[in-house]
Amino acid sequence: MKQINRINNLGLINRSKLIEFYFNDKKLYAFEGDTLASALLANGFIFTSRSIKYHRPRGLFAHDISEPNSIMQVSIEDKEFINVQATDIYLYNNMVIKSINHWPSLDFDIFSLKRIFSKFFLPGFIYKTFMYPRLLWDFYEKLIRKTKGFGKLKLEEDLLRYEKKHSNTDILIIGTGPSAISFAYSVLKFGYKIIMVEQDSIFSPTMLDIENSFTDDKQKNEFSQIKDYVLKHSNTTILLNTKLSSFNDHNFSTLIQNSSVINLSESNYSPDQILWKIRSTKVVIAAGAIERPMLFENNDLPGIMSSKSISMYLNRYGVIPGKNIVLYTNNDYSYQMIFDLLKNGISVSAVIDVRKNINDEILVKLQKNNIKVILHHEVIKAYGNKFINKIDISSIDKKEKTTIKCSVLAVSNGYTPINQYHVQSGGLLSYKEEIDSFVPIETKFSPIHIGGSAGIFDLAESIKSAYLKSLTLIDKKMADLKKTSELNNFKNTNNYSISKYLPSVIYNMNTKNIFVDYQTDTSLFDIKYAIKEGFIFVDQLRRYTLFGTGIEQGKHSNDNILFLLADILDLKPDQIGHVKSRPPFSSINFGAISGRSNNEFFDPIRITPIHNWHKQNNAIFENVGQWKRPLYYQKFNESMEESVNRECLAVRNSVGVIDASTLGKIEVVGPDSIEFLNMIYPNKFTNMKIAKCKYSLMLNDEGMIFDDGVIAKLDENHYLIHTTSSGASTVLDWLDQWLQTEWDHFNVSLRSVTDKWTTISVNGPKSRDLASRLFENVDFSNESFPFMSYKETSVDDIPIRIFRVSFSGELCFEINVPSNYGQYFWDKTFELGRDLSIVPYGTEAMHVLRAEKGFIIVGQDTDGSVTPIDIGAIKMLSKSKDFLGKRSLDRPYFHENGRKQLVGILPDDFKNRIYDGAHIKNINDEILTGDILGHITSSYFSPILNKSIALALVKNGNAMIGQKVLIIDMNLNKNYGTITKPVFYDEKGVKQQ
Amino acid sequence: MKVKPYISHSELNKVRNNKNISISEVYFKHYFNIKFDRKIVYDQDIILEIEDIKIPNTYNKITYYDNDRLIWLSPYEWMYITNSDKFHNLCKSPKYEYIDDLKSIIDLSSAYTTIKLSGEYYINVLNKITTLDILENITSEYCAQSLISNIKTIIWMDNLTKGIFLTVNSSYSQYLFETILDASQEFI
Repeated sequence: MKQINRINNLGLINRSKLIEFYFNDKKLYAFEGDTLASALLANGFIFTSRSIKYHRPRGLFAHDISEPNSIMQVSIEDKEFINVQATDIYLYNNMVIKSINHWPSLDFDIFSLKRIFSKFFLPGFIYKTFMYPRLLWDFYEKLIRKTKGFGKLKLEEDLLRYEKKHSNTDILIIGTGPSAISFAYSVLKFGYKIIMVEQDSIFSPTMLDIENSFTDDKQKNEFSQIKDYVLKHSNTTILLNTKLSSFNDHNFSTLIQNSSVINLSESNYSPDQILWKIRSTKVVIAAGAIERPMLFENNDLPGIMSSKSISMYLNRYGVIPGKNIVLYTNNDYSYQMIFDLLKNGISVSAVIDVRKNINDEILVKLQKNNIKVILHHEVIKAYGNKFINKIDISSIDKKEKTTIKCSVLAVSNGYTPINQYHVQSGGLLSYKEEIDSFVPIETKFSPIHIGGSAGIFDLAESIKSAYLKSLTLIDKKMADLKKTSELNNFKNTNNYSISKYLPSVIYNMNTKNIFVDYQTDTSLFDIKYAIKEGFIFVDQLRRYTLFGTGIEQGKHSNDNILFLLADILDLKPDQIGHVKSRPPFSSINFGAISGRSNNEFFDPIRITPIHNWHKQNNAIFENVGQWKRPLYYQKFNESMEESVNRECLAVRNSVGVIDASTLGKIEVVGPDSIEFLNMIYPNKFTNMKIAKCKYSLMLNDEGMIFDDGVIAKLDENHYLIHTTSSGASTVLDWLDQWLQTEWDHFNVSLRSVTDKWTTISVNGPKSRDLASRLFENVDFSNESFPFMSYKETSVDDIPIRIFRVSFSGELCFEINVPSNYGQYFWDKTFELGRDLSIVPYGTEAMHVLRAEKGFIIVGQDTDGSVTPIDIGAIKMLSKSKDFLGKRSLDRPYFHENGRKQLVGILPDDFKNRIYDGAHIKNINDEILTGDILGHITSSYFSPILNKSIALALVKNGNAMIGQKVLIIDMNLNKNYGTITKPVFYDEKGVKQQ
Repeated sequence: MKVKPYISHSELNKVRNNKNISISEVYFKHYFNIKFDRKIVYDQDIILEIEDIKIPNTYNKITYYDNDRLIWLSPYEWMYITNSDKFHNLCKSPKYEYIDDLKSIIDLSSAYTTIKLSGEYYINVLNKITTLDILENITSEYCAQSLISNIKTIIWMDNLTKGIFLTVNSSYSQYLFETILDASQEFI
C-alpha cells in the first residue's frame, strides 16, 4: 500500500485504520478520516473528473463545498449517493466511487472530441439551434437530455433514513474558526446559550494552519485557552458534520447534518442525515471566505488548485498534491501556504505575483528559503493534457516572457466572503476596494458576519473584531465593563494587502479556454459573447451562460465574473449588482427535506376504536379524509362485488351493522343555539322539540350544497349536529368563522365531539329486535321511538345516545357509546345478533343502499355547483326565515330551465355498471357530436333489484323522466339507459319508518 | 365494564418501561372543555371558582388539584382532566348555567387520549417531533399546544415524574404513538 503524496505524521486522520475503496474500479487505500478528495490526492490522482460540456480533464481545485470539479457517484452497501463533491464525503471500507461525464472511461472519453467543435457551442446554442423545425423538438429533447446533467439517479427506493430535529438557542454560530471562537467566548461570559456549527468532522479545523500564523507565542497560548473554555462550556452545543443550508426571516435556520458521513451501523434506526431547524435570537456567520481562481489560458487543468486548499490538505490530511509547486497570486495572505509547506520540509519552486511589491517580511522569508519570487508578472497559459506540466508567464507590460515547469500551480485571486446567507434573506452587499470583494451590509434583521465572512482576513484582527461585534448584542453598560477582555489585546501587525487583478486578455475577443466557471464550463469568451449580445445584467447573464448554476452554485466563480462584467462595461463593481443566492447553500437530499414524513408517516391516519376488530375480520379499508374505513369485509375468496352484494342483502333482509364513528359530530350549546342553527341551515328549527332529529343540507353563502347531516335536539339550548366524515373539521371551522365574524352577538359555543362517541349503526328489518336485546330498558317500539327521534339511556352509568335515523332506507338505530367502551358494545352487538344472521358491512355496501334510496353523498352527487333546488329539496328551504345562501338562491338563474337536476338512470344492459363520470347525451347523438346533457354521479349494481342503477345530474332532468339517453363512458363505449326518478327502492319510505 | 385502551402495538410492552424512552397511554376518566366569552378581557387573577377549582388567568399554565389538572388552552378556554366524577356532577348543577361569562362546559371524556413520554432521551425525541422549545428545565406548570406530525396536540408537563404528556383526539392516538415510536427507535 503506497500513497505517494502522503506526508508522514501530519494531519488529523486515524492512521491506525486503513480503508480500502474503489475509484473507477481501481482498488485504493486511505485512512479513516480521509475525504475522498484527500485520499485521491494521497494516491496521486490529480486528474479526477471530466467537465460537463467539453469533457475537459479536471482535478481537485478546493478542499471544501466550493469544489467545482470533482463530482462523483458513490455507493456503499445498498446506499447510493449522486452528485457528491469529492471534498464532501468521508471514505469507508469498500466504498465504490465512479467519476461521471465520460464514456467509456475517465482516461479515454470519446465525448472529449466535443472540444473540437467548441467554437460552435456558444451561449444559447440549444435555444438557437433546435428551434426549427418545431415538430422535431420532442426528438431533440431526448437527445439533449441524454447529454445533460451530472449523476445518474437511482430509481429504486432511497434507503437512507432521514430525520428532522428542532432546536432553540440564543446564538447560532456558523463556523468554528478563530473569529467564531472569539465571539463565542465573549457571549458565553454573558450567559448566552450557543450552538456552534462545523462542516468538518473536527472542531475548528482551520486552526491547524492558523495556529502557525500567531507571531506571538503568548497570544497563541492565550487563544488556545479561550478555545478550551468555549469547547468545555455547558452552554455550548457543537454540531459537527453540519452545514447551514438556509438563513430565513426571524433567525430561523435550516442545517443539514451528516450529509458527508454514512451511517453503516447495524441498527436501522440511527438517522443517516438530519435536517435541523434552529430558531435563535441571532445568527452569526463565521464561515470564512472562498479563494478565487486566476484567469489564464487552460486555467482548469488538473494540478491547478487553490493555495488555501493546499494548506488545508497538508495540515488536515497530511497530503500534498505534488512536488513541484508554484504559487501564482495577487495577495499576501496566500503566502501562508508556502510557510506551511516549508514547515514540513517541502519547498516551492517559484512565486509569481501580479503586484509590483509584496509584504517585506514575506519577501525576506522567501529569500531566506531560496524561493524564486517573480513580481509584476502574470501567467498567460498553462500546458498539459491530463495534468499541468508547465506555464508561460509574462511581465504585466508584456515585455518579458518565460516558461516555468511545474506539477502543481497554486492560485489565489483574492477571497470571496461567505455572504450567500445574507443575500438569501434579501440582504445587500457593498464592494470593498481594499479587499477586492463584496461584503454584507448588515441590518437589524440580517445575520452578524465576522472574520473572513466580513472581509477580515487577518487572524488577530478577525479575533478582535469578532469580540467587539459580540458586544453589540450585550447591554451597553455591561459591554463597556468588558472592554478589558483579553480578546481586546489582539492586534493586526501584518499589514497584508490584496491587489485587484484582471488579466489584460479580457479585452481580446479571441481568447479561448479561460474558464471563469469550472462546473458549467463557462469561459471568458462565453461571458464576453453574452455581453456582446446584450446580456449585461447579472442575472440575465447568469441564465444565458449558466454560470453559477451547478452543484456548487458559483461559489468560486461569481465574483470573478462580476468584476469582469464591471470592467468590460467600464463600471464599478458596486454598479453591477450581485448574484441573487437562493437556498440551499450546499446540495441537500430531497429525503432530508421530507424527513420521516413519508410512507406511513406522510399524513396522519385516524382510526375508530373498532379498527382492530375490522382488521381481524378481513376488512379492506378505504381512505375517507384521514379516516380508515372498512370498504367491505371479505369472506373466503369472495370478490369485492360478491362481498358487497352479500352485505347489502343482509341489511335488506335481516340486520347489518356499520361502524359510523367517523361521522362528524359537533355540539352546539348556548341560549342562541336555535338562532344560530336557523341561520346555518335552510330548515326552520324554531319549533323543534327535544329528542327530535331533522335532516338538513348545509349551504355556503352562494347557495350551493356544502355538507349535510342530521341535527338532534338533545336538550333546551343543546344540539348535536352531524356532518359528513371528511367534512367535519371544515364545517367546524366554517361555523366558528361565522360566529367570530358576522354573528359574534350569538351566545353559542361549539365543540367537536366526533372522537367522544363510537357510532354503531344497526340497520335492517331485525334491527329493532337486536337493539332491544342490547338495551332492555329502552322501548324501541315505533310509537315510543318513532323515525327521526332520539333517546338517551345508560348502562352502568355509561351514557348512551340512540338516534332513529336511516341512511340505508331500512329500519335503523344509530347507537352512540363513549369511545372507550366502543369495542365492548360492538362485540356485544355481534354476540346478541348472532342468531339474527348479523353481518358487518362497509362503506361500499352503504353506498349501494343509499343510492337505491336516492340519498346523495355531498361531494359525489354534488360538486360545489349544485343547489337544493337541483336535487329536488326545495321544500327544505324555509320561506319564513333568513339563512346562509338564501339571497343567492333567490337569483332567477337557479329557477330557470337548463339547470342540471338529480335523476336516476336505469341502464338498458342492466347487468353492467356504467362508470361514474360517464357523459349523458341525447339518444340520437354520437360520441363526438351533440351537447353533453350531464354525467353519472353514482353507479352501482343493486343486488336487491338485481340490476344496475345510477344517479346522474342531467340538464332539465326532471322533465326528461322516461326518456332514453345515450351514455358514453371514459373508454368511449356507448351505453343506453332510461331516465327515472332518483329513488329505486321503497319509494314511499315505508321500511325506514 | 372494562375500558379498552385506544393504543395497541406489538412494541407497547417493550417501550412502556424503557429507561431510555418510555411511551405509554395514560387513562383519565374525564376531559372537560370549559369555555368563557371570548369578547371579555379578564383582568382578575382568578376568573371563576367552580367549587374548589379556581380557573386562573395565566397563559400556558397548568394547575394541579391533587391528581386532577386544569390546562390553559386559550385566553377563554380550559381543559379539566380528572379521574373523579365530582366535577362531572358539579357542572351539571343549574347554578353554572346562568353565569354570564361561562359559555359552556362540555364533557369530552373519551374524546381524548393521553400519551406519556419519559425516560432519559425524551427531550431528544421531542426535538424531532415538535418545534416547541421544550428544555429539561421547564417547570411542571407548563402547557402548550402545537402540531406534532400534523396532529394538534396539547403538551403538558408532569408534576410528579420527569416526562411530558401529549393529549390528542383519540382517533389520532394510535398514529401519534407510532410516530413517537418511530422517532424513538434510535434510543430504544
